[in-house]
Amino acid sequence: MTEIAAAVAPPAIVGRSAWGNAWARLKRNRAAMFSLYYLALVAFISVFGPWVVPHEYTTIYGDYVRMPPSLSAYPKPDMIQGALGDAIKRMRADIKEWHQEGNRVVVTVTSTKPIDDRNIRYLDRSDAFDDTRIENKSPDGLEVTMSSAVKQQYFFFGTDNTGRDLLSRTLMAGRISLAIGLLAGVVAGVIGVVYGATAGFAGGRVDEVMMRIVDVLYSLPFIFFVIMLVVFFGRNFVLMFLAVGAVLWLDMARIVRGQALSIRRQEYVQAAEAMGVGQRGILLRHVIPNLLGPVVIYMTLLVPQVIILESFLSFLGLGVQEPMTSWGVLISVGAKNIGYANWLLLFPAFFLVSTLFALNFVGDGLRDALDPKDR
Amino acid sequence: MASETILSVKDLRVRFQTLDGTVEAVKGINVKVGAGETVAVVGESGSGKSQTMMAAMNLLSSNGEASGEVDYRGRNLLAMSKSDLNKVRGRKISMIFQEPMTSLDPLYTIGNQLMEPIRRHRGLNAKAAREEALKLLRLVHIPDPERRMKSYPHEMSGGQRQRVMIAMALANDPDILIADEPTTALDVTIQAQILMLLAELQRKLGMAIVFITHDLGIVRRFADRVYVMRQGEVVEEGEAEALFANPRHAYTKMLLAAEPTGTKAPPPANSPVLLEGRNVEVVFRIGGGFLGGEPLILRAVDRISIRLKRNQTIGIVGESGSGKSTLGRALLRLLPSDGVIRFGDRDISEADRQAMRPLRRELQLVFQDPFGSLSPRMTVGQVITEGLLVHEPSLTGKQRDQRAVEALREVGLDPNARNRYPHEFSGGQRQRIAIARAMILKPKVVVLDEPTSALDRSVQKQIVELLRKLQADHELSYLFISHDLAVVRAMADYIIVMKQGKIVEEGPTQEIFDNPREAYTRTLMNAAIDSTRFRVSA
Repeated sequence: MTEIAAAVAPPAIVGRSAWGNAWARLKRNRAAMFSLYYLALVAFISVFGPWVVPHEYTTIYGDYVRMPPSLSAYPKPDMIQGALGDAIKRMRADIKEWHQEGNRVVVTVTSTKPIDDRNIRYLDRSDAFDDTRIENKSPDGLEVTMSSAVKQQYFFFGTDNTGRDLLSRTLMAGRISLAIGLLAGVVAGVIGVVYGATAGFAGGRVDEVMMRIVDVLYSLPFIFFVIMLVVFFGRNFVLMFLAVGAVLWLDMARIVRGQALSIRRQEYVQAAEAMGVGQRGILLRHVIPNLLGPVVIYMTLLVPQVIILESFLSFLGLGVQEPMTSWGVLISVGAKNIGYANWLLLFPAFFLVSTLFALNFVGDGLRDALDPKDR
Repeated sequence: MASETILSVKDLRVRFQTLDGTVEAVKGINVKVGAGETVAVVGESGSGKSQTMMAAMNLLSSNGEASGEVDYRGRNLLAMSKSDLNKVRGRKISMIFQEPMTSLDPLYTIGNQLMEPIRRHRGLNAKAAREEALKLLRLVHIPDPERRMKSYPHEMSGGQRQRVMIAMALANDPDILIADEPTTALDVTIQAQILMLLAELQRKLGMAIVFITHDLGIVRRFADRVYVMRQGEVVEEGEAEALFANPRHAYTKMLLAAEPTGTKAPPPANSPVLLEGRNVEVVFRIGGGFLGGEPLILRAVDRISIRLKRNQTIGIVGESGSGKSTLGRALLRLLPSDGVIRFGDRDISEADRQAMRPLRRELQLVFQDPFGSLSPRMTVGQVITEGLLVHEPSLTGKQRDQRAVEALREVGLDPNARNRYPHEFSGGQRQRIAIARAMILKPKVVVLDEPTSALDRSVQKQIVELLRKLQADHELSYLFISHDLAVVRAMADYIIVMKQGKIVEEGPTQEIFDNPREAYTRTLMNAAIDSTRFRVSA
């Protein structure tokens, strides 16, 4: 037996890195893992959903203004008569009789003047009907029988004030909010990490001056800053990233600077110095890898902050412009219609709140997972 | 000693849920404590000695669970409700911990922290509690107790803080005092004082003491009965004197023999001076500056001269704050200093970072804390070979790997270790890695800054032997900084005793040990090596 065991080469030992450990700990945290999957799902449907859902987020359905959400198709049976009446009125004719055959509607209209064939376009123009044909025409042309297919439209989340599908708008808004959150988060993260690491690593007077600049920027009111930008440069999507990112890097810079200061005093950095490793090597091999933990954690908390700020700006009307939309814009509209169309608030608010919750859970989980004391 | 048994631990098991599955830290042990008795639980780190008592007090961390029985005067502590347990915990059984720096709340005065448990447990009014607190401070020999009542923890020294902790533990007349390594974080001279105090208090108050420690020296001088633990099991138990005189289990024998032995012969008289410092002075300015007014000037190293020859080991001894580590770093030009420092025939007193870089490979440093000195995000291979990136940039990755394998073999580690991360190793293994990192550059001078202080005795001995072997193989010169005289005696051929930045005494090891001239040196020696008992057995 021993010969056999000796003959088999021992497998190469691969150590479990600090990151591997953190990942294993994170996997045990159910709330964080669920949140992670949920975020992936929200991101997926926000990115690909708008191509799949039946309506464009810009299409206006004039006949379906403020329709409540429903799983069955519009028009509802009791709405057909109304829609038919509206369309026939535009033809300047009167309904003599109508009935439904399968999914087609057969209507007989009369008028005091002969009815032109082209009038059937009024029926097609309605959001409820499609594929209108003339079945029968009286010899004097005063009475026409037409048949038209009932267009099946699904509005799972209902429609908004101008008759746009809320589902596609919510998903589109998700794209914008997540993109702003991610990009502004990255902008703030990069500026903050570079600035903070420089200050902490240089130390002394350089650190002092750099951190006083941060203090000065802290004292500027954020809203004032954004309004100034909007006034000077107009409303602009890119500007939003810049404004939000330019304000939120301050916290990141402080956190990173504190970490860098403490890492600089760690014995392994002193050991590297004693070995003659240069500033660059210390920064690249020692300071930055050991900074990443807190940075990753703070990023997950920064992203929700950015999303909330964007929502707040959009709520004030300083954010993205119609017809483009974001969760903040949708919630702002929904809040105005809360009395008679509460779904306009409920759906976007659900998405925003659940995403923020998930991000916070992930951040919390990461903080626990990366804390080396929790062994 | 045939006294009534007041605490008995029966078949106690402690398990922890970890990433690698369930770990059994304590595997069914039995311990008995009689009234007024001193029981020592001895073992190296990881033997489960602390967890035993933590489990008894229901203080395990959240991933741990305990089973078995812990009977205190006939009641099972493990089965008690939290509120019942609180009537025993802190009142009848109290604890003192290793770290007096962090066990006191920095925001409250000593008086406040002492009075609070007295008022809560005994329902005394403020005035009576104050009297009681004063009495306790006098009991633990805090000088000027009235003034100290109003002090904050940071105004007191480590030893005084440990005295306050003991006073707090005694506040409610406990039956049993559990002391978990109460002197490990203190200087040797202070250690002796604290142990003396504990022995005296026990005589006065007649409580039982459970002493958890890794230091057999303390046990020998202090305990009535001893339990030796290893890997969660009690391997040997018995009366202290009998156990020391006649250890039965191999592990106990090994522990007793773990004191580093041997001495080092001085280098030949004609061996060249490698590193020399003349009137080296390091001054720290604290505070001051633009609006801070006059800065506080601290002379950490005060005009010290030192000559380190090839193949010599100079031991630098002193208590914490004596400036011994600062001196070591100043000599390697890692700290700005005044005075002249020469390496070989070069004057490096004015050398800057750039000028020092090529010399760094010959002047290496090994740190005290093997946990802090290895970057947690690099593999062992990367840690060891980092110096090669700087000093031999022409090596290919494969050659570096080969050198790492050699270096690990040389310090007695499996070369496979290079693909793993530092946190997967024990303290002694990590110290070996740190030594490998210094040795891979083939240095001439190595400054060893307390390289064995954070390690268990038996591991200390191995590290000392490794260092001696490396010295013999490569003709190294060591500057060995330590507060542990037993290790210094085994390592160094010349000793410098430092106090408050100055040299108190220096000379060949044998001379200093045989015939210390200064009172301070004698105090240090008595505290470390004396083996008289503090306590007369009842």
